[in-house]
Amino acid sequence: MIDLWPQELPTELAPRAPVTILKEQAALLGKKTENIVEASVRLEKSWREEKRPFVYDFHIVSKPLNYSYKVFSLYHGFEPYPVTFSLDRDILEEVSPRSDEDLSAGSEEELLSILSRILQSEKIKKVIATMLAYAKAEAV
Amino acid sequence: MTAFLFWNLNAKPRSEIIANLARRHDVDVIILAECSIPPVVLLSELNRFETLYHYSEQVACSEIELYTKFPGSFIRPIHEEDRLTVRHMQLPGLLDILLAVVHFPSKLRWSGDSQAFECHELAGSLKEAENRVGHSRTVLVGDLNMNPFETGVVSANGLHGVMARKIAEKGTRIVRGRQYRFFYNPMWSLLGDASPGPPGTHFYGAAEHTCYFWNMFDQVLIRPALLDRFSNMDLKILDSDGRTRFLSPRTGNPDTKVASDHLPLIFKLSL
Repeated sequence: MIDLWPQELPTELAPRAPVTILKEQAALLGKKTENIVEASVRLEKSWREEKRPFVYDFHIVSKPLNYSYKVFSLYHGFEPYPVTFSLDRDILEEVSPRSDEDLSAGSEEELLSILSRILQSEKIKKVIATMLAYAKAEAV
Repeated sequence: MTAFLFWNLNAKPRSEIIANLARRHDVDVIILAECSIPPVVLLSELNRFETLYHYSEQVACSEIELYTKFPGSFIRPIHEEDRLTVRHMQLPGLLDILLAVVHFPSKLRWSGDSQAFECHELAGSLKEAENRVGHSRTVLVGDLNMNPFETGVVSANGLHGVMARKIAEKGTRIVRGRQYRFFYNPMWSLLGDASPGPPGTHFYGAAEHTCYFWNMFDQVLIRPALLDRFSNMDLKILDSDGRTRFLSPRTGNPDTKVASDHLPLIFKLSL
Protein backbone atom coordinates (compact mmCIF):
# COMPACT_ATOMS: atom_id res chain seq x y z
CA MET A 1 0.00 0.00 0.00
CA ILE A 2 1.28 3.45 -0.86
CA ASP A 3 1.41 6.02 1.97
CA LEU A 4 -0.04 9.20 0.54
CA TRP A 5 0.60 11.29 3.66
CA PRO A 6 3.43 13.84 3.70
CA GLN A 7 6.84 12.43 4.61
CA GLU A 8 7.22 15.03 7.34
CA LEU A 9 4.21 16.24 9.25
CA PRO A 10 4.44 19.70 10.82
CA THR A 11 5.34 19.49 14.48
CA GLU A 12 4.71 23.14 15.38
CA LEU A 13 1.27 23.90 16.61
CA ALA A 14 -0.80 26.18 14.40
CA PRO A 15 -1.61 29.52 16.01
CA ARG A 16 -4.83 29.53 17.95
CA ALA A 17 -7.75 30.92 16.00
CA PRO A 18 -8.56 34.49 17.11
CA VAL A 19 -12.15 33.43 17.81
CA THR A 20 -10.88 30.86 20.32
CA ILE A 21 -9.09 33.61 22.23
CA LEU A 22 -12.16 35.85 22.14
CA LYS A 23 -14.38 33.04 23.38
CA GLU A 24 -11.97 32.19 26.20
CA GLN A 25 -12.00 35.79 27.41
CA ALA A 26 -15.76 36.10 26.93
CA ALA A 27 -16.32 33.04 29.12
CA LEU A 28 -14.44 34.65 32.03
CA LEU A 29 -16.68 37.69 32.51
CA GLY A 30 -19.80 35.84 33.64
CA LYS A 31 -17.82 34.13 36.40
CA LYS A 32 -16.75 37.52 37.77
CA THR A 33 -20.29 38.93 37.86
CA GLU A 34 -22.42 35.97 38.97
CA ASN A 35 -23.57 35.81 35.32
CA ILE A 36 -25.35 39.16 35.61
CA VAL A 37 -23.04 40.60 32.98
CA GLU A 38 -21.54 38.28 30.39
CA ALA A 39 -19.67 38.55 27.12
CA SER A 40 -20.45 36.80 23.87
CA VAL A 41 -18.80 36.33 20.51
CA ARG A 42 -20.88 36.11 17.36
CA LEU A 43 -19.81 35.17 13.88
CA GLU A 44 -21.09 37.75 11.44
CA LYS A 45 -21.12 37.84 7.69
CA SER A 46 -18.61 40.35 6.40
CA TRP A 47 -19.55 42.72 3.62
CA ARG A 48 -16.54 44.93 4.03
CA GLU A 49 -13.81 43.16 2.19
CA GLU A 50 -13.64 39.84 0.46
CA LYS A 51 -10.04 39.55 1.67
CA ARG A 52 -11.26 39.50 5.28
CA PRO A 53 -14.25 37.14 5.18
CA PHE A 54 -14.22 36.23 8.88
CA VAL A 55 -15.81 38.76 11.23
CA TYR A 56 -16.66 38.27 14.87
CA ASP A 57 -18.60 40.71 17.01
CA PHE A 58 -17.69 40.92 20.69
CA HIS A 59 -20.64 41.94 22.87
CA ILE A 60 -21.11 42.58 26.57
CA VAL A 61 -24.59 41.46 27.49
CA SER A 62 -26.88 41.33 30.49
CA LYS A 63 -29.71 38.82 30.35
CA PRO A 64 -31.55 40.31 33.36
CA LEU A 65 -31.57 43.70 31.59
CA ASN A 66 -32.12 42.26 28.09
CA TYR A 67 -29.24 44.54 27.07
CA SER A 68 -26.28 44.17 24.74
CA TYR A 69 -23.36 46.43 23.87
CA LYS A 70 -21.15 45.80 20.86
CA VAL A 71 -17.57 46.52 21.91
CA PHE A 72 -15.79 45.67 18.66
CA SER A 73 -15.77 43.63 15.50
CA LEU A 74 -12.69 41.60 14.67
CA TYR A 75 -11.85 40.78 11.04
CA HIS A 76 -9.39 38.39 9.46
CA GLY A 77 -8.78 36.58 6.21
CA PHE A 78 -8.37 32.86 5.53
CA GLU A 79 -5.19 33.03 7.59
CA PRO A 80 -5.89 33.76 11.26
CA TYR A 81 -3.45 36.68 11.34
CA PRO A 82 -3.32 39.60 10.86
CA VAL A 83 -6.58 40.62 12.51
CA THR A 84 -8.18 44.05 12.50
CA PHE A 85 -10.32 45.54 15.26
CA SER A 86 -13.17 47.90 14.44
CA LEU A 87 -13.50 49.33 17.89
CA ASP A 88 -15.84 51.54 19.93
CA ARG A 89 -14.56 55.08 19.39
CA ASP A 90 -14.29 55.96 23.08
CA ILE A 91 -12.18 52.86 23.75
CA LEU A 92 -10.05 53.52 20.67
CA GLU A 93 -9.28 57.00 22.04
CA GLU A 94 -8.28 55.40 25.33
CA VAL A 95 -6.07 52.60 24.01
CA SER A 96 -4.65 54.41 20.98
CA PRO A 97 -5.00 58.12 21.64
CA ARG A 98 -2.82 59.27 18.75
CA SER A 99 -4.63 57.40 15.98
CA ASP A 100 -8.20 57.05 14.81
CA GLU A 101 -7.39 54.13 12.53
CA ASP A 102 -8.51 50.56 13.21
CA LEU A 103 -6.07 48.57 15.35
CA SER A 104 -4.34 45.54 13.84
CA ALA A 105 -2.52 42.58 15.34
CA GLY A 106 -0.08 40.42 13.38
CA SER A 107 0.23 37.60 15.91
CA GLU A 108 -1.47 35.95 18.86
CA GLU A 109 0.80 37.90 21.20
CA GLU A 110 -0.23 41.21 19.68
CA LEU A 111 -3.89 40.18 19.71
CA LEU A 112 -3.66 39.39 23.43
CA SER A 113 -1.96 42.72 24.09
CA ILE A 114 -4.64 44.76 22.30
CA LEU A 115 -7.46 42.71 23.79
CA SER A 116 -6.02 43.22 27.25
CA ARG A 117 -5.98 47.01 26.76
CA ILE A 118 -9.56 46.96 25.48
CA LEU A 119 -10.98 44.83 28.28
CA GLN A 120 -9.15 46.87 30.92
CA SER A 121 -10.24 50.22 29.48
CA GLU A 122 -12.10 52.70 31.65
CA LYS A 123 -15.14 52.55 29.35
CA ILE A 124 -15.49 48.78 29.73
CA LYS A 125 -15.20 49.12 33.52
CA LYS A 126 -17.84 51.85 33.50
CA VAL A 127 -20.23 49.89 31.27
CA ILE A 128 -19.95 46.77 33.43
CA ALA A 129 -20.42 48.79 36.62
CA THR A 130 -23.49 50.50 35.17
CA MET A 131 -25.01 47.22 34.03
CA LEU A 132 -24.42 45.65 37.43
CA ALA A 133 -25.99 48.64 39.18
CA TYR A 134 -29.06 48.58 36.90
CA ALA A 135 -29.47 44.83 37.31
CA LYS A 136 -29.25 45.13 41.11
CA ALA A 137 -31.80 47.96 41.09
CA GLU A 138 -34.08 45.75 38.99
CA ALA A 139 -33.80 42.91 41.47
CA VAL A 140 -34.89 45.08 44.43
CA MET B 1 -49.74 61.63 19.91
CA THR B 2 -46.17 61.11 21.05
CA ALA B 3 -43.84 63.82 19.77
CA PHE B 4 -40.13 63.33 19.09
CA LEU B 5 -37.54 66.02 18.46
CA PHE B 6 -34.15 65.24 16.94
CA TRP B 7 -31.38 67.79 16.60
CA ASN B 8 -27.66 67.63 15.89
CA LEU B 9 -26.41 70.58 17.92
CA ASN B 10 -22.92 70.79 16.46
CA ALA B 11 -21.74 71.13 20.09
CA LYS B 12 -23.47 74.54 20.40
CA PRO B 13 -24.98 75.54 23.77
CA ARG B 14 -28.60 75.89 22.65
CA SER B 15 -30.47 75.01 25.88
CA GLU B 16 -32.94 77.87 25.56
CA ILE B 17 -33.88 77.00 21.98
CA ILE B 18 -34.29 73.31 22.86
CA ALA B 19 -36.56 74.25 25.75
CA ASN B 20 -38.57 76.59 23.49
CA LEU B 21 -38.98 73.83 20.91
CA ALA B 22 -39.97 71.34 23.60
CA ARG B 23 -42.69 73.63 24.95
CA ARG B 24 -43.90 74.88 21.57
CA HIS B 25 -44.32 71.37 20.11
CA ASP B 26 -45.15 69.58 23.37
CA VAL B 27 -42.25 67.20 22.77
CA ASP B 28 -42.21 63.91 24.69
CA VAL B 29 -38.78 62.65 23.61
CA ILE B 30 -35.87 65.01 22.93
CA ILE B 31 -33.00 63.33 21.09
CA LEU B 32 -29.71 65.20 20.72
CA ALA B 33 -26.53 64.43 18.81
CA GLU B 34 -23.23 66.27 19.26
CA CYS B 35 -24.59 67.62 22.51
CA SER B 36 -22.07 69.25 24.82
CA ILE B 37 -24.63 70.66 27.25
CA PRO B 38 -24.34 69.07 30.70
CA PRO B 39 -27.61 67.33 31.68
CA VAL B 40 -27.96 69.51 34.78
CA VAL B 41 -27.91 72.67 32.61
CA LEU B 42 -30.39 71.45 30.03
CA LEU B 43 -32.71 69.94 32.63
CA SER B 44 -32.88 73.22 34.51
CA GLU B 45 -33.84 75.02 31.28
CA LEU B 46 -36.35 72.36 30.24
CA ASN B 47 -37.94 72.33 33.68
CA ARG B 48 -37.81 76.09 34.25
CA PHE B 49 -41.58 76.57 34.56
CA GLU B 50 -42.68 73.04 35.36
CA THR B 51 -40.85 69.83 36.21
CA LEU B 52 -41.52 67.78 33.13
CA TYR B 53 -38.36 66.25 31.75
CA HIS B 54 -36.03 63.46 32.83
CA TYR B 55 -32.55 62.72 31.58
CA SER B 56 -32.55 59.23 30.09
CA GLU B 57 -29.20 57.69 30.91
CA GLN B 58 -27.34 55.55 28.45
CA VAL B 59 -25.02 52.69 29.32
CA ALA B 60 -22.45 52.72 26.52
CA CYS B 61 -23.49 55.11 23.75
CA SER B 62 -21.77 58.43 24.30
CA GLU B 63 -22.86 60.07 21.03
CA ILE B 64 -26.55 60.55 21.77
CA GLU B 65 -28.46 62.18 24.63
CA LEU B 66 -32.14 61.64 25.40
CA TYR B 67 -34.52 63.67 27.56
CA THR B 68 -38.03 62.38 28.11
CA LYS B 69 -41.26 63.42 29.74
CA PHE B 70 -41.39 60.05 31.46
CA PRO B 71 -38.91 58.15 33.65
CA GLY B 72 -36.05 56.27 32.03
CA SER B 73 -37.55 52.91 32.99
CA PHE B 74 -40.10 53.41 30.16
CA ILE B 75 -37.42 53.81 27.50
CA ARG B 76 -34.64 51.39 28.36
CA PRO B 77 -31.67 50.76 26.10
CA ILE B 78 -31.61 47.19 24.81
CA HIS B 79 -28.69 47.47 22.44
CA GLU B 80 -25.91 50.04 22.16
CA GLU B 81 -22.81 50.74 20.16
CA ASP B 82 -20.64 53.83 20.30
CA ARG B 83 -22.85 55.60 17.74
CA LEU B 84 -26.14 53.75 18.20
CA THR B 85 -28.68 53.38 20.95
CA VAL B 86 -31.76 51.19 20.55
CA ARG B 87 -34.45 51.89 23.14
CA HIS B 88 -37.48 49.79 23.95
CA MET B 89 -40.11 52.43 24.62
CA GLN B 90 -42.97 50.99 26.66
CA LEU B 91 -45.38 53.67 27.83
CA PRO B 92 -48.34 52.52 29.91
CA GLY B 93 -51.42 51.93 27.79
CA LEU B 94 -49.60 52.68 24.53
CA LEU B 95 -48.13 50.52 21.81
CA ASP B 96 -44.52 49.64 22.60
CA ILE B 97 -41.92 50.52 19.96
CA LEU B 98 -38.21 50.36 19.34
CA LEU B 99 -36.62 53.79 19.03
CA ALA B 100 -33.23 53.50 17.37
CA VAL B 101 -31.02 56.58 17.27
CA VAL B 102 -27.83 56.75 15.26
CA HIS B 103 -25.13 59.28 14.51
CA PHE B 104 -23.00 58.09 11.63
CA PRO B 105 -19.45 59.27 10.91
CA SER B 106 -19.12 62.39 8.80
CA LYS B 107 -18.37 62.34 5.10
CA LEU B 108 -15.20 64.22 5.98
CA ARG B 109 -13.89 61.06 7.67
CA TRP B 110 -15.68 58.21 5.87
CA SER B 111 -16.18 57.41 2.19
CA GLY B 112 -19.63 56.68 0.77
CA ASP B 113 -18.62 53.02 0.48
CA SER B 114 -17.68 52.84 4.16
CA GLN B 115 -20.96 54.47 5.11
CA ALA B 116 -22.85 51.95 2.99
CA PHE B 117 -21.05 49.03 4.64
CA GLU B 118 -21.83 50.52 8.03
CA CYS B 119 -25.52 50.66 7.05
CA HIS B 120 -25.39 46.91 6.57
CA GLU B 121 -24.00 46.54 10.11
CA LEU B 122 -26.68 48.88 11.43
CA ALA B 123 -29.43 46.95 9.64
CA GLY B 124 -28.13 43.75 11.28
CA SER B 125 -28.16 45.33 14.75
CA LEU B 126 -31.73 46.57 14.24
CA LYS B 127 -32.93 43.20 13.00
CA GLU B 128 -31.40 41.49 16.00
CA ALA B 129 -33.01 43.98 18.41
CA GLU B 130 -36.37 43.45 16.68
CA ASN B 131 -36.00 39.69 16.97
CA ARG B 132 -35.28 40.09 20.69
CA VAL B 133 -38.43 42.10 21.44
CA GLY B 134 -40.52 40.02 19.03
CA HIS B 135 -41.80 42.79 16.76
CA SER B 136 -40.60 45.26 14.15
CA ARG B 137 -42.38 48.42 15.28
CA THR B 138 -39.17 50.37 14.85
CA VAL B 139 -38.40 54.02 14.22
CA LEU B 140 -34.86 54.89 13.19
CA VAL B 141 -33.91 58.52 13.63
CA GLY B 142 -30.63 60.35 13.54
CA ASP B 143 -27.90 62.05 11.61
CA LEU B 144 -27.02 59.47 9.00
CA ASN B 145 -24.56 61.80 7.27
CA MET B 146 -26.05 60.37 4.07
CA ASN B 147 -28.86 61.52 1.85
CA PRO B 148 -32.01 59.41 1.43
CA PHE B 149 -30.94 58.46 -2.10
CA GLU B 150 -27.50 57.12 -1.16
CA THR B 151 -26.66 53.45 -1.51
CA GLY B 152 -26.42 52.63 2.20
CA VAL B 153 -29.85 54.07 2.93
CA VAL B 154 -31.59 52.57 -0.12
CA SER B 155 -29.97 49.16 -0.64
CA ALA B 156 -31.76 46.03 0.52
CA ASN B 157 -28.80 44.88 2.61
CA GLY B 158 -28.45 48.39 4.01
CA LEU B 159 -31.32 50.28 5.59
CA HIS B 160 -33.69 49.51 2.71
CA GLY B 161 -35.46 52.86 3.03
CA VAL B 162 -37.91 53.53 0.21
CA MET B 163 -39.65 56.74 -0.83
CA ALA B 164 -43.15 55.32 -1.28
CA ARG B 165 -45.34 54.16 1.57
CA LYS B 166 -47.12 51.67 -0.66
CA ILE B 167 -43.88 49.84 -1.42
CA ALA B 168 -42.82 49.79 2.23
CA GLU B 169 -46.22 48.38 3.19
CA LYS B 170 -45.26 45.14 1.44
CA GLY B 171 -43.12 44.54 4.52
CA THR B 172 -40.17 42.76 2.98
CA ARG B 173 -38.45 42.13 -0.34
CA ILE B 174 -36.49 39.11 -1.47
CA VAL B 175 -33.17 39.62 -3.24
CA ARG B 176 -31.23 36.53 -4.33
CA GLY B 177 -33.20 34.36 -1.97
CA ARG B 178 -32.67 36.58 1.08
CA GLN B 179 -35.53 38.46 2.70
CA TYR B 180 -34.98 42.09 3.71
CA ARG B 181 -37.32 44.26 5.82
CA PHE B 182 -38.29 47.63 4.41
CA PHE B 183 -38.18 51.02 6.03
CA TYR B 184 -40.38 53.83 4.78
CA ASN B 185 -38.28 56.96 4.38
CA PRO B 186 -40.59 60.00 4.46
CA MET B 187 -37.63 62.38 4.14
CA TRP B 188 -37.80 62.00 0.34
CA SER B 189 -40.97 64.11 0.41
CA LEU B 190 -39.15 66.94 2.18
CA LEU B 191 -36.30 67.29 -0.33
CA GLY B 192 -35.96 70.50 -2.31
CA ASP B 193 -37.84 73.73 -2.77
CA ALA B 194 -41.32 72.37 -3.45
CA SER B 195 -41.44 70.79 0.01
CA PRO B 196 -43.25 72.60 2.84
CA GLY B 197 -40.10 73.49 4.81
CA PRO B 198 -36.41 74.14 4.13
CA PRO B 199 -34.88 72.13 1.22
CA GLY B 200 -32.90 69.88 3.59
CA THR B 201 -31.48 69.71 7.11
CA HIS B 202 -27.85 70.57 6.42
CA PHE B 203 -26.06 72.86 3.98
CA TYR B 204 -22.58 72.33 2.57
CA GLY B 205 -21.37 74.28 -0.44
CA ALA B 206 -18.10 72.72 -1.58
CA ALA B 207 -15.99 74.01 -4.46
CA GLU B 208 -16.19 70.76 -6.41
CA HIS B 209 -18.11 69.54 -9.46
CA THR B 210 -20.77 67.54 -7.64
CA CYS B 211 -22.39 69.48 -4.84
CA TYR B 212 -25.96 69.10 -3.59
CA PHE B 213 -25.66 72.23 -1.38
CA TRP B 214 -28.63 71.14 0.74
CA ASN B 215 -28.45 67.67 2.26
CA MET B 216 -31.01 65.59 4.12
CA PHE B 217 -28.55 64.01 6.55
CA ASP B 218 -31.02 64.01 9.44
CA GLN B 219 -33.69 61.42 8.82
CA VAL B 220 -36.56 59.45 10.27
CA LEU B 221 -37.25 55.98 8.88
CA ILE B 222 -40.29 53.98 9.88
CA ARG B 223 -40.93 50.26 9.65
CA PRO B 224 -44.10 49.11 7.87
CA ALA B 225 -45.55 47.80 11.17
CA LEU B 226 -45.79 51.42 12.41
CA LEU B 227 -46.98 53.10 9.24
CA ASP B 228 -50.63 53.23 10.29
CA ARG B 229 -49.43 55.25 13.32
CA PHE B 230 -47.60 57.85 11.27
CA SER B 231 -48.86 60.65 9.03
CA ASN B 232 -46.48 62.57 6.76
CA MET B 233 -48.15 65.75 8.01
CA ASP B 234 -46.58 65.04 11.41
CA LEU B 235 -43.00 65.28 10.20
CA LYS B 236 -41.37 68.67 9.85
CA ILE B 237 -37.95 70.23 9.47
CA LEU B 238 -37.95 73.19 11.84
CA ASP B 239 -36.43 76.55 10.95
CA SER B 240 -37.51 78.45 14.05
CA ASP B 241 -38.45 77.96 17.69
CA GLY B 242 -40.96 80.81 17.48
CA ARG B 243 -38.38 83.35 18.65
CA THR B 244 -35.13 82.55 16.87
CA ARG B 245 -34.78 81.87 13.14
CA PHE B 246 -32.36 79.02 12.50
CA LEU B 247 -31.59 80.22 8.95
CA SER B 248 -29.33 83.14 8.19
CA PRO B 249 -31.35 86.11 6.83
CA ARG B 250 -28.50 86.82 4.41
CA THR B 251 -27.85 83.36 2.92
CA GLY B 252 -30.94 81.37 3.85
CA ASN B 253 -28.70 78.56 5.14
CA PRO B 254 -28.52 77.13 8.69
CA ASP B 255 -27.02 79.81 10.91
CA THR B 256 -24.41 78.35 13.25
CA LYS B 257 -24.12 81.66 15.09
CA VAL B 258 -27.62 81.38 16.52
CA ALA B 259 -28.49 77.67 16.14
CA SER B 260 -26.55 74.77 14.55
CA ASP B 261 -25.27 73.63 11.15
CA HIS B 262 -28.15 71.13 11.18
CA LEU B 263 -31.85 71.89 11.41
CA PRO B 264 -33.99 70.01 13.92
CA LEU B 265 -36.66 67.47 12.97
CA ILE B 266 -39.94 66.88 14.71
CA PHE B 267 -42.24 63.92 14.15
CA LYS B 268 -45.21 62.42 15.91
CA LEU B 269 -46.54 58.90 16.26
CA SER B 270 -50.01 57.86 17.35
CA LEU B 271 -49.04 55.02 19.68
